[in-house]
Amino acid sequence: MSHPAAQLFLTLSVLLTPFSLPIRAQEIRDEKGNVYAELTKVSRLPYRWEFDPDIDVRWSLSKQPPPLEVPSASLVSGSERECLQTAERIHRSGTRGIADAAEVYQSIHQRLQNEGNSRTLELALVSAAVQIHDKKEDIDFLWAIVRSKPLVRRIVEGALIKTQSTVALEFWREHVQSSTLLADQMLAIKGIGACGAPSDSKLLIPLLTNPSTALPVQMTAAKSLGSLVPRGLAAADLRPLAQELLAGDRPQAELLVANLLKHDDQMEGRTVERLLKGTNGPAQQITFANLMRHQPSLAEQNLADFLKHPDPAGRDLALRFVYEKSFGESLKNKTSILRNALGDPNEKVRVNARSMLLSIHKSEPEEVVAEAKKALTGGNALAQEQACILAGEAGMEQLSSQLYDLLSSESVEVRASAAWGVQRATSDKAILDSLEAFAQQRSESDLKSGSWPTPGDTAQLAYLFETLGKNRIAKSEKMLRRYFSKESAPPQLRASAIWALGMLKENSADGRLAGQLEQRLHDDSDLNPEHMVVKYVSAISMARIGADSSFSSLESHYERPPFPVGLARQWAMRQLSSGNQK
Amino acid sequence: MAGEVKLFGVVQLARSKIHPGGVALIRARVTNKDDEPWSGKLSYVWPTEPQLQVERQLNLAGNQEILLDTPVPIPSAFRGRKTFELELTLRDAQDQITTSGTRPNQSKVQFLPETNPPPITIAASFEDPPPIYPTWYWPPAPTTEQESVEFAIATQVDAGNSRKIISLSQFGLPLSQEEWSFIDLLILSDPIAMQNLAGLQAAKLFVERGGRIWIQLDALDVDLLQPLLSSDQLCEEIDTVELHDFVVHLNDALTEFQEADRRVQSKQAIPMKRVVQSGGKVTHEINGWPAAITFSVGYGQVFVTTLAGDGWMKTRGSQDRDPLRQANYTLQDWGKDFAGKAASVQRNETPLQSELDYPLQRLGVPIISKGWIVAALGLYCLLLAAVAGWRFSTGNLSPIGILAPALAIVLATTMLIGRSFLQSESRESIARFQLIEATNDGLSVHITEHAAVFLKSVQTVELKSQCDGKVWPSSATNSGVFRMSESDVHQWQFQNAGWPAGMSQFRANYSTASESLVATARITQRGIELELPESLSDWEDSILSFVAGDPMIVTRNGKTLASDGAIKIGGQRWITASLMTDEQRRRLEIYERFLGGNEVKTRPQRRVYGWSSAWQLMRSETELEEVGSALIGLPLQIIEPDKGSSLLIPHGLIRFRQSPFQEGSTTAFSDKSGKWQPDLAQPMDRRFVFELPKEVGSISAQSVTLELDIVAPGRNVELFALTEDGEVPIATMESPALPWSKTLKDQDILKAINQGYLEVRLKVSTLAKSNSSRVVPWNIGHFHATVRAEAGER
Repeated sequence: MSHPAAQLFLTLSVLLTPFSLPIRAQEIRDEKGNVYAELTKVSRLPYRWEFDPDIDVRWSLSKQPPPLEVPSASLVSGSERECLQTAERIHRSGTRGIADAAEVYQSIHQRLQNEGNSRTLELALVSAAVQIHDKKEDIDFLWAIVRSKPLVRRIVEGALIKTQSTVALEFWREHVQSSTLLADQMLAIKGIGACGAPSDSKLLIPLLTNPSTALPVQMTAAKSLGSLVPRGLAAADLRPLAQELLAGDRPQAELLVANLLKHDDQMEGRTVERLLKGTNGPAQQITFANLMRHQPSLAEQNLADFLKHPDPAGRDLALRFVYEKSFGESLKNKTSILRNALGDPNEKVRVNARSMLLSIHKSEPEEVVAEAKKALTGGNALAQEQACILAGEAGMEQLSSQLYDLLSSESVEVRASAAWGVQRATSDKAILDSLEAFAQQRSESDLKSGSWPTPGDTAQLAYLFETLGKNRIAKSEKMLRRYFSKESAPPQLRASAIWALGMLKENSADGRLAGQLEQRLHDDSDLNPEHMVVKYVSAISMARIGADSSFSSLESHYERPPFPVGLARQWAMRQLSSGNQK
Repeated sequence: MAGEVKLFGVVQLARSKIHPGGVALIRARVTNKDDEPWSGKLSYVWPTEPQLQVERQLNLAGNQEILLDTPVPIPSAFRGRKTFELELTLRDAQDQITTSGTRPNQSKVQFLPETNPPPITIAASFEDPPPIYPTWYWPPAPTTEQESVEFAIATQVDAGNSRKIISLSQFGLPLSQEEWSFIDLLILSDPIAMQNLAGLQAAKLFVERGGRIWIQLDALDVDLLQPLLSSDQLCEEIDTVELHDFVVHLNDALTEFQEADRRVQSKQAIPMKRVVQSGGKVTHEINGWPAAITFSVGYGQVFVTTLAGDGWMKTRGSQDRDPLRQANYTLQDWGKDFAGKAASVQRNETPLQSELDYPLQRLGVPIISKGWIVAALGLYCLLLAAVAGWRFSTGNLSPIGILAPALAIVLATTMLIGRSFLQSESRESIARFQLIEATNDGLSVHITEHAAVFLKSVQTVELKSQCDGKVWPSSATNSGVFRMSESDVHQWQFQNAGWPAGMSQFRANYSTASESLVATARITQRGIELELPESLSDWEDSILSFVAGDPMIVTRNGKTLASDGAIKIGGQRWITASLMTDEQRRRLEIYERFLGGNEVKTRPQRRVYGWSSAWQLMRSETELEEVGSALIGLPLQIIEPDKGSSLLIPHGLIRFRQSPFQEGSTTAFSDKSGKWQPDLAQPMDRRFVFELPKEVGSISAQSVTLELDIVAPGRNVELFALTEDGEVPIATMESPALPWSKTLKDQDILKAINQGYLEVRLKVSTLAKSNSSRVVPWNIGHFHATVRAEAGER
C-alpha cells in the first residue's frame, strides 16, 4: 500500500465506508451511536435484534487469548534450541501480544550481545525483536548491534525505513552506489527515500540515468527521489530527468516519471498529457492523485476519462476528486456522478460512492434524495441495491414507495436491501399497511411451500417483520406467531418475528406469549436444541412483554455473559426487576 | 535425581515420511521436576537396526520442560516390512536408563509405512484462516474456505498429485536442512512465517539446493519475497489492482489458447499485485503486468503468483474416485502449465551426490596397485607353465594338481604380507573431497563432502561439527554403531566406537554461514579479470561458468586471474598445465563429471570455480592425517567498466539462446543447458540471440567474432544477422567439416550489438544428395560470439 493512489483509496475507505472496510472486525454504530454489528469484508445489513437493545453483544468475535507469557530467562541463558523455540513463539503470538514485552525485548538485546550466537539464532532474535518493538528507539538500538552483520541487518533496515529513522542514513549513503548486492542497494535507496536530504538526489539520479540499472532499482530510485521533494528538493530539478526518461525507450518510463514527479506541484502540461493519455494505469493514477492535490484544474480536465478508468482504484480516485471538490454551482453534477458510480462493477467503488452521497446528504438532502430516486427507478440492479441501502441509512422516507416497488425486484440483493431500507426509513401508515400485506403474502406462500426461503428472501422477510414490529402494526401479530416452530423458518427469520412480537406486545404482560418464549429459551433438546439467536431474542422479548413469570424463568437459565444468551438474560432480568420496582 | 525426570508425549509429526529411506519426525517432551538442573540424553534406536542411532544431548534447568522435534532417518533395510518400531530412551549422564517412579523412561513408537508414498512432498505455510462469521449474515459472510489453500490443492490435484499438504503453519519454517531434504515444494502465503528471517534463510538454502518455493504474493508484502531471491533478482511492488475482466497472455506456453479461452470474467473483484521485476522469467501476464514469474535460484526455483487464486481457478467438474485426488476447484486451462511446472516434479538433484573415487584415490593405500596384481598373476602363469613344461618333460603331469594350488597359496600369501606391510607403513588418515558452493549472496555455503578413512585397526572415530548437516556412512561400512548425537541446534557429532579397520567411506552434506564469499570481475581489453575474496589465497585450476553451456578456463598470470575464452574447454581440457599432477588428473575427472556431459540440468550461472585445500568444518576428534581438497564455487559480480575503456567480451560471458522473437522452439538446442543435441537429422531454420551481460552497460562495438563449430556433411549451412534493416548474410557453407570463424565489422550488426544483443538466423538444409538412403547426421559443437568494444556512458 505504498502507492499514493492505493493509500488514498484506503484512507477513503476507512474514513467514509461504514460497511466495506478491508479489516477483520470493527464496530459499526447506528444513528444513535449504538454498536450494532461488526464489520466483515463485505457490506452487511444487520438485523434489528442484533443491536436493539444495545447490550454489547459480540456476534462474530471469538475470545482473544491472553498475551503470551515468554520466559525471559530462556532467552538470556537458554540453549540455542530453547531460544529459537521462544523466538518462534513470539512470532506466532500475532495479535495476542506479549506479556512484559519490554522485558522480553531487553532479554533479546542481552542475548544478541553474547559472543558465539549462530547466525540462525541472530536472525530469529532480531526478527522477534523487530516484531515486538514499541518505539523507534528500540529499532535504533538494534541497529547498533547488527550494523556489521550483512544478512541480519536487513531486517532492521526494513524497520528503520518504516519508522523513518535516520540512524542508518550515512550507512545507506555509502551503500547506495557501492553495494555489490542489489538487495542491499534497494534497501539503501528506500532508506534515503524515507529520511534522506535533498542533497541525496545526487546519489540517486545516476541510478536512473544509467539504462543498465535493473528496472526495480530504477523504480525504487524514482520513488525515493520523488519523496525527497516534500523534504526540500526542488521539483524543477527533476523535470529534465523526467523529460530524458520520457524521450527514451526505457521500459515503464511513464511510471518512473510519475513516481519521480509525484510531489511536483507544477507539472508541465505535456508531461501530464503524456502520462495521463498513456496506457500505464499506475502512472495515470499517481499523476492524477498529484493533480488532485496541486493542479485541480488539470485534474478536472481529465476527470471524464478517469471516471471511466479501467482500474477501480482509478475510478475511485476520480470519485474522491468529485467528492472533495466544491463544484460550487454544480452540486447536481457532483451528485449525478456519484449516483452513476453506484452501479460500478466494483463493489468498493459502489460502496464508496454511496458513502460519499450519504455524507453529502447531511448538508444537501434534496439533491441526494433526487439522485437516490433516479438510481432506485433506473434499471441497474447494482445501483438499486446501493440506493436502497443509502435510503435506509439516510432515512429517506420520501422514497418509501420506490423502495416498496423494489421488494419485488428480480435481483435478490435488491429485494433484500429494499426491505432493509424500508425498515430503516419508513413510518408512513399507508406504506406500512402495504408492507404488511406484502409480508402476509410472502409468509403464507413460504409456509405453504413447506421449504425455507433462500437466504436473500429470508433476510427480506426478516427485515419486513422488524419494520412491522418497530412500527407496532398490530394486525401482523397472528402472522408473527406462526414462527415459534423450529421447522417454520430459518432461525434469523424466527428471531426477527419474535423480536417484532416483543415490540408489538411491549408491556402487555401477556403470560401466554411469555410462556411460549420461555419454552424457546429453555429448549435444549438433545436432538434439535433451539438456535442461539432465537433464545437470545426470546429473552429480550420476555423482558419487553413483562409477564410476572418471566423473571424466575430467566433466573433459572444457565447462560451467563459474555455469551449472547447470557447477556440477553442479564439484560432482561434487569429490565424486569427495574419494572417491578417501579 | 533420575526419578525426577520424565519422558512423555512421544508422537510422530505429520511431516514425517514413513517409508524405508524416509524420515520419522518425532516430538517428545522431557520434564525435569526437580529444582536442580539435569543433564542426560535421549536416544532414538530402531531395535532391529541398531547400528544407526540418533541421540540428543539434554541440559534441563530445574523445573523445566522442553519439547524436542527430532528427525530420525528410517533405514532403507526396512524395505518390505509391514511395521517398524522406534525406541526412545532417556538416559542420565552416566548412560543409565532413567526412571519415572518405578517405570523406565522409555517409549516405543510403531509406524505403519505409507503404502503408496506421494511422488512429491508438498509443504505449506498458509496465512491464518478468515474468522468464522454467523451464518445468518446478509449478504452472506465470505466463505471460510481459504482461497490460498484451495489454489494450492487445485494446483496439486491438476498436477496429478494427491491433495495432501504438510502444514507448517503452526510450527514455523524448519531450521534444519535435514527436515528440508524431504520437501519438494513449499507453498507460502503466510506473512508471519516469512517475517522470521531465520526460517526464511533456511528456506533460501532449500531453494539453492534444488528445492522449489511457490509464493502466493497477492496478499503479501513484496519485501518479504526478496530474501528468497538471488542477488541479481529483484521484485518491486507498484500497487494492487482489482480485476473483473481480463485476458491472460502466456509466454513460452506449450499449448496455444484462443483469446476467449484466456479471458476471465468475474463479478467478484480478483486482486492482483502489480510488480516490476528483474532476473525472473514472466510466464503469465495480464495487461503487461506479471501474473506469474519463475526465478531460478541456485539449483532450485521460486515461483511467484501475483494474481489471486480466484483468477486462476474455476469450479471443478468431474472428480476422481480417490478422495485424496479430489478438489473443489481446478485451474483454468491456461494455468495448467503452471501446475505442471510447480507441483509435478521432485526437487532438482544437486551434483556429485553419488559416491566418488576421489578420496580413495587420494588416500592411495593400502591397495596393492593394479601393476603389482598383473605382475603377480603373470608370474603365476609363467611359473605354472614352467612347472607344466618340466613335468611334461618328465612324463608325469599329476604333481601339477598339488603344485598349482601351492604356487597360488605362496603368491597370495606374499601379496597379503605385502598388503600388511603397506598397511603398517601407511599412516591412519582421512581424505576428503568437498564441493563447497557459496549461495548467491555469498553469505552461506553448502558443502557436499565425500571422505574416505583409513584405519589400521578397529577404533573409535568421532567427527564434530557446528554446521547444519548430516553424515551418511557408506552402505558397505557395516561395522559398529554409528551414532549421530546432537547437543544443540547445528552442534553435532558423528561417532562409531567400532569404526572398521582398513578403508571405509562416508558422505556428508552441511551448510553454514560464511563471510562474504563473492568474486568480483572487471571486463578489460584482455577479457575478464577476476578478484577473489582474500580468504581464498590458495585458489587453483579455475573455471568460469557465467552462462549455460559455455564454461571458460581461467588462467593465472602472477596475481591476476583472467580469461579471454581463447582456450577451448571440455574432454581433457579443463585445466591448463604443462605437466599435469596426479591431483590435477583427479580434479579433471571431477570437472568433467560436474560441468561436462550433455544432461539438461538447472545449474547456477555466473559462477567461478576453483580448487583449494579442504575446509575443516567437520573435525575428526581421532588423530588422523588429513588430506584432500575442495572445489569451491563462488557467485561472480561484474563491475561496470569505466567510460572509454577498451573491452574484450569473451564468448563465455555472452548468453546464446533461442530467439524469443519467434514462434515455437527447436529441440536441437537447449536454452537451459546451453548445449546442442548430438546427431541431428532434421533440417533447421531457427533464430538465435547472443545477449551481452547487462553489466557492460552501453558500449560502442568495434567488432564481433562468430565461431561456429559445425559438421554437416552433404548439407548447406547459411547464417544471417538480423538487424533493423533486415537480414545481413554472414556466411554460406557447403558440407562444413571444420570450425568456421569470422570477424564482423558491419555497422548494422555492430549497432545491434550496441543494443545488448545480436539476433542471428541459422539454416541447415536437408541432405543435398538424396540418392543415399542413409541419414547423415549433423552436429554443432558450439556457436560462440566474442565482442570487442569501447565502454560508453555509465
